[in-house]
Amino acid sequence: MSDRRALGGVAAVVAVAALGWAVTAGPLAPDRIPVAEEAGSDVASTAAQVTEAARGADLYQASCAACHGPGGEGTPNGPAITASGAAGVDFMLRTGRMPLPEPGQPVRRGAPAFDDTDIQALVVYVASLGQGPAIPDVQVSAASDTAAGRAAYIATCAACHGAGASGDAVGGGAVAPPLLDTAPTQVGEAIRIGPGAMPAFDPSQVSDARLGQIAAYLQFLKQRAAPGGQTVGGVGPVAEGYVGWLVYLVALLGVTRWIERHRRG
Amino acid sequence: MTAGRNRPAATGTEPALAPTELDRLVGWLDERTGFARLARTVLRKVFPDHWSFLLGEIALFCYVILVLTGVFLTFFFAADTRPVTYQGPYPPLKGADVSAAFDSVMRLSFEVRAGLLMRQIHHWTAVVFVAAIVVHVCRIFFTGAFRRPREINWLVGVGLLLLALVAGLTGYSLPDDLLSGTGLRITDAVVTSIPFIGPWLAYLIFGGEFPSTELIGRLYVFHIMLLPALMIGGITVHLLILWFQKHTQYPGGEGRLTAHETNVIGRHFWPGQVFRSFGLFLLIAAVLAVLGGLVQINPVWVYGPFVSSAVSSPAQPDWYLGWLEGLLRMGPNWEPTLFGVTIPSVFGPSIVIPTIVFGAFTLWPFIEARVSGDHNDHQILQWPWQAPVRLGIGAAALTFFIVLTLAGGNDVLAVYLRVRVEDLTAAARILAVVAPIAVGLIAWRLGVERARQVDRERTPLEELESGS
Amino acid sequence: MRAQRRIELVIAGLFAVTALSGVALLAVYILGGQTQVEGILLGIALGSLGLGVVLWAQELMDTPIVIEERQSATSSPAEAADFQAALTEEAGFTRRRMLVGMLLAAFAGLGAALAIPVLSLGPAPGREQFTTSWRKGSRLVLGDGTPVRAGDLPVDSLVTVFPEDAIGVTDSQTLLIRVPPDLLRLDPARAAWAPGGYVAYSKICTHAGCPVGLFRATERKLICPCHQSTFDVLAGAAPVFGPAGRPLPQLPIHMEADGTFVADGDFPDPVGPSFWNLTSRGGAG
Ligand code: FES
Repeated sequence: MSDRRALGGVAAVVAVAALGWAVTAGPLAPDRIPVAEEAGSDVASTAAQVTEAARGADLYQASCAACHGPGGEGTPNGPAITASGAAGVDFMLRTGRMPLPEPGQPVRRGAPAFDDTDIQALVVYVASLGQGPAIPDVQVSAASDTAAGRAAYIATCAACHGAGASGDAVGGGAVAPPLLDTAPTQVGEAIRIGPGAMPAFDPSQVSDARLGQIAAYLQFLKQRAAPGGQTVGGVGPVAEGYVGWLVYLVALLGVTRWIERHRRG
Repeated sequence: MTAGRNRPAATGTEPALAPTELDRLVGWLDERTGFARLARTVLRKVFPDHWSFLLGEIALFCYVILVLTGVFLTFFFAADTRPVTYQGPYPPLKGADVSAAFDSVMRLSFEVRAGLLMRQIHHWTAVVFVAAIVVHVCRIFFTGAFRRPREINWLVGVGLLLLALVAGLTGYSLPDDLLSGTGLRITDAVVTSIPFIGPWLAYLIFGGEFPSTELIGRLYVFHIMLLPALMIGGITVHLLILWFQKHTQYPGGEGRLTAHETNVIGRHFWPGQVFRSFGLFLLIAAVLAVLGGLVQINPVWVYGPFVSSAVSSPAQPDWYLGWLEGLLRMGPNWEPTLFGVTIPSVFGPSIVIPTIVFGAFTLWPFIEARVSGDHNDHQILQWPWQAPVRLGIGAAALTFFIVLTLAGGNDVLAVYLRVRVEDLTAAARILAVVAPIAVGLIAWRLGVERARQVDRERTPLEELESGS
Repeated sequence: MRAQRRIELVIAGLFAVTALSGVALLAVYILGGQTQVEGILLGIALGSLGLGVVLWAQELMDTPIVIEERQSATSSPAEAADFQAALTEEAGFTRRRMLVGMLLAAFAGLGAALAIPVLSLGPAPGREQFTTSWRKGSRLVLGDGTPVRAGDLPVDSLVTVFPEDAIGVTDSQTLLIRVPPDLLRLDPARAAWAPGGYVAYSKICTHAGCPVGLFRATERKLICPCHQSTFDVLAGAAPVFGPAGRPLPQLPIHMEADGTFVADGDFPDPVGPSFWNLTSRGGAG
């Protein structure tokens, strides 16, 4: 009889542990994606820019030219990037999407391959290859209007990225990534350039001030929108269903068996 | 006629003691109602003590918790779609145009103390409630507990499951948020798709073209009045029938007591069973309270108010309607028009297939009796392998539902599995046919093997006993 | 006896925990409440009471396993016959068949009369399903009322628009999408409906009515989040994947001299989910 009681105890511990694991590290945990650092925005001196451009050219030839061509004109392995502008290059590098380990690999978010100085150098160099959008100035502060940000986010972004910014598959193998860990500048860059399958939005549609509000709303979502507890990935009823079943099968069935532990024969 | 004379008969075997307060109260009541006789039978009723007989109780207790938390919520919820401006403490919605219904749910979540806890316990309990019913039905099904004379209670139970699903859908829709509005939109399309009467019926139910301002009020009446009343009635009938028919029991017995068709072995209702069941209720409530406190569910502030031109993804119903969502997602895009009558592509997956599946499920006791020719009373349960064909069919049905439910979340799965949504849909179309057949055959085969093995291992003595 | 005494103390302790967590819960409540703490305290209160009650039953109560005989549910033939006699003979139902028949008819009629008020719940569908608020001359505006102008949209991007006089009206929500004009593969009869590569499609999914809000710009495909119906913007929003059976209806538009867009009429087909008589559009338009 005592080993049955022990069994009940073990079941309870397993229940709690399994739930804990599932919602923190397991399948229900929010995607853990490294936070891209915010772009430094100090204005470099002219002299520094020259050396930066030279360094950028070197880096470009070493890491990018094989696919995008020596002048950014593109090759069969990679598209032209002369029109990407500073925003496009900065976004791709800081979110670790570029460079790809191999041509033809899927473009995915990851840890950036270059440090801050190298990224700046590359951005300056590639931006000089053609005309493209500049890095938007995304201002986020405690005073940012999250209500305006929310309204714009729901109207413009939530259809693909989800109201909770948990991300979703949008068909054709494309994924609208989760946005809770995306740095404000990269949020703004993505809206302007429309990376991958995403459409781009002009300042006439989404103003620069609006970019800051959207980024501020995303920060709010990450930090302050879970008064109810663990968010189990923020994907809604699918994850909630799994949690409900887990709790039922482990905790409630465990309790039931423990209550009738005197069963003989 | 002194009060002491009519002491409960259960204590009648003990030497007479001085009448206590309790004796006096019981006597007073019994002289007027004669209730002691009835109470004695109730307290002395025999309950089999196998844990699987508590599975239905889990569902019952979830229902009780739903009513208790639900009553609390009704004090604050406003079933009203009139537009108001949100003025509460949640900054991102400050000044937003919301419906009074949504506004009241926000107040419940952010301003009413313990309101969010109650909301979350209510919603989690609903999620667990249906799971509990499903497992209970599985137990009934696989052990053949639905066989004569219990067909009526099977029908009542199926009715309760359906009511639970509708209660879930109506409750999910009440907060008037972006996600649930999407669900209502689909429900409207499903009703509209029925040939000839669909549009008319949809207008009748929804009060006009979607989204009508009548809707939330109507759903509310269903959710807090009609459905719970029907469910209480159903539960009462379910339990009364159980009471008079007595529990089934597993083959074998307890210790030296052998189970027969003519007896029932177990523990007296009072006190052993009552204490255990009350304890079960408390422990279920404890688990759900912790769950409601620690894990967020349906954060309507994140979804925001319903706006008919906005949408959020992933967009799913609660899990128990996931199989319908899956059917809709994998449905073919056939939409034939014959003699001017269009059959909408929604119609097959959302009306025809569920009707067939649920119809077969509802009529199962009669189908099985007809096919097997077994019209005898059964008080002794079967182990699942003792009816391998039923085992196979049940396993196939469960597999079918699991595939459909997974298909209903294919976009979420696609992200985790890093595959294309389109490939998952294609796979689900094949799996929905192949997997049930395969699993069903395997389960049937295993059942047959097990039955053979048990036959071989049977000693002559057991043979004798089971035959008696 | 010692063991019993010990278990009794354990149970008493569990009950005490319940009482204490009740007090703690009250304190948390008075201090302003905190959902997680409330949940845990409520859980502890209920849980330890539950544990105590079950342990009491399991360890301290003498609840032997007993056996009880079942009685047959079936009534004796005499009882059944008596019941039938009471039902039919005494009331005379068998003799007065005509009257019984009329009584049933009366009940049926009364039932119908009582059901008729249910019809008040909704209007008849009428032609509403075939029409939207778009008319010849309706200007395309954003949700905040500002007219859309050519050049506001980058190529391969989209906005949600409404008729100027029906902003926010559900059945009139429309997507205005700008694509490279030379890639469009519209029906020749509709070639003029895409001024400068701007095309307008109903935003309501023809499957089950969700807003078709997802756009894969590189492939110019619209995707519905509900069941992933995918529509090819370049080919008149024809469904290319998923369960939707019809294209998203296209709105005839032209560009004004000031760069704004104006509709040339309502959608040629019913918007939103299909229904049985959708091809009987009749005179609406
Ligand atoms: S509603 Fe759009 S795919 Fe079903």
